[in-house]
Amino acid sequence: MQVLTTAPIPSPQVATDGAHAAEFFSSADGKSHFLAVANLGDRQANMYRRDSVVYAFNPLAEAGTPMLTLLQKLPTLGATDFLGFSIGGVTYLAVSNEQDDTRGGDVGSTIWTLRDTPEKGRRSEEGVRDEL
Amino acid sequence: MSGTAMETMACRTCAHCHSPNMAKSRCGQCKSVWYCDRECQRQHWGSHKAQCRLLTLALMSASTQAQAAEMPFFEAATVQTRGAAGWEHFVIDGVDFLAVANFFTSAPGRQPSMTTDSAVYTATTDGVQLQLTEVQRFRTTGAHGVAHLESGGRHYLAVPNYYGGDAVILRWDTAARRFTELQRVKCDGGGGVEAMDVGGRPMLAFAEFNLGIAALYALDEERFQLWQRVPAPGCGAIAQMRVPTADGGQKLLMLAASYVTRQTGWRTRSTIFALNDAGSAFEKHSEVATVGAHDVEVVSVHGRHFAFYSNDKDERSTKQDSELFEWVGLFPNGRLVSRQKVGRHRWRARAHAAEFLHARHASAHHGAYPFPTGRH
Repeated sequence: MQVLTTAPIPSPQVATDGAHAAEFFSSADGKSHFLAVANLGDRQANMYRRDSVVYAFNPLAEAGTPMLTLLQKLPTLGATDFLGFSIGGVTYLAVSNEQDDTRGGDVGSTIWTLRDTPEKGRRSEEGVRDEL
Repeated sequence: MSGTAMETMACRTCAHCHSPNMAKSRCGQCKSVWYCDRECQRQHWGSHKAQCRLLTLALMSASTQAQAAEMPFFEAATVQTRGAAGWEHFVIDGVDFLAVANFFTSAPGRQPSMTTDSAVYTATTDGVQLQLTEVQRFRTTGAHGVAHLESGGRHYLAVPNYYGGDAVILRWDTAARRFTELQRVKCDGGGGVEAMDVGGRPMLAFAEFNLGIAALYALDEERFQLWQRVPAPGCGAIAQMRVPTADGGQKLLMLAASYVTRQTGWRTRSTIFALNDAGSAFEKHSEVATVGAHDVEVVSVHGRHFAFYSNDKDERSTKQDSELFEWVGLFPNGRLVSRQKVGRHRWRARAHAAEFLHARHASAHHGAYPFPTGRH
């Protein structure tokens, strides 16, 4: 079990920057839900090297609790869209990279996969904890 | 019932037995779900643990190297796309395919061209890495989005061309094991496409930004025929949502994301349309306020219905909040109600790991945008 610390660390502001599209998707086992937001950047400023963001999406979150929790930044190049999909029980997330600041449009697009950690099993009994 | 009343009623509903107003304890790790008691929590753990882990990861502060090794998503493949503007995944005869819409092609020292090829691949996995094998290319002109539609055992791909004045529709040729062009339909400033089932009729809905309409084409025998052109100023993307009705049925909604219009500028109102009772047309139902909404995405999970509008920009800045809405109530009185805005965030967790991932692109930004006008 990892130790959870509550001390805040210095943190930069991360903005939704030219959000062009988003994708709701679930893990292959259907138990985890996500939202990926594609940040294109700024056309007028010719700046496309932007991080896009993946949120953990909790559809059971109650009032007053955020449904979307920032999970990970992904390096993208003029991201226009995401697609989440599963093949053979593995979860993938593909970005559509439109262009780079200097290299134009033929920059290729990245496909990420969702890590399946052995930690999941070990933590199964530790997950039941009462707060109140 | 008002949105506030609905939210109050939903407050602290047990995530396991769904008893309302009874939940008194919550998960001590992610702090995001509530339970009646320890027994409900224990029984729910099997379905909650994966989501719990991810939520907990997002909340944790820990050492940076450990974080880098544990980021949930890591790179599995790169694909040679050209100005990519949309992916689609589909399965034909047990084979996984991916299709990509390529918006334009350009490279240093070469003039950009909107006419290029979009592509279809087969996709296989070894459990981690993804292997893509190109099946075919097909000519597009500013392709912006791609949708797969299956009807009667036949498979179709539709790609709107932003600059070409049309949208291309392909059909799978079972014998040749590839798609062939079926037809092209008029499409002026195609910004997106959505495959829909409208009262049992397969349809393709194209967002025609230049005309400010959503154009629906119904599959009639062998061809797609124009079914309705729905005025939707600034429409650049379309999504569909099925919501519960007061009489116990379901109502099909079509959501149009409004990017920018002459009347409103960037401070747009994106329209929600509903299929009328006769099933003969979509009619305006309601609106939500958006800011240069470039896309709308929907999901239905646990009997709840959500829409996320990606707000691109206003006249001053691309740094805008995007917004998550939830459908609250029963049609026709129900509405999309704001649940959360996302935009500026404080990285309370895993900040350095995120910076580590960012490092590969951490150089100065230069270069010229090849297309001075329009919506892309």
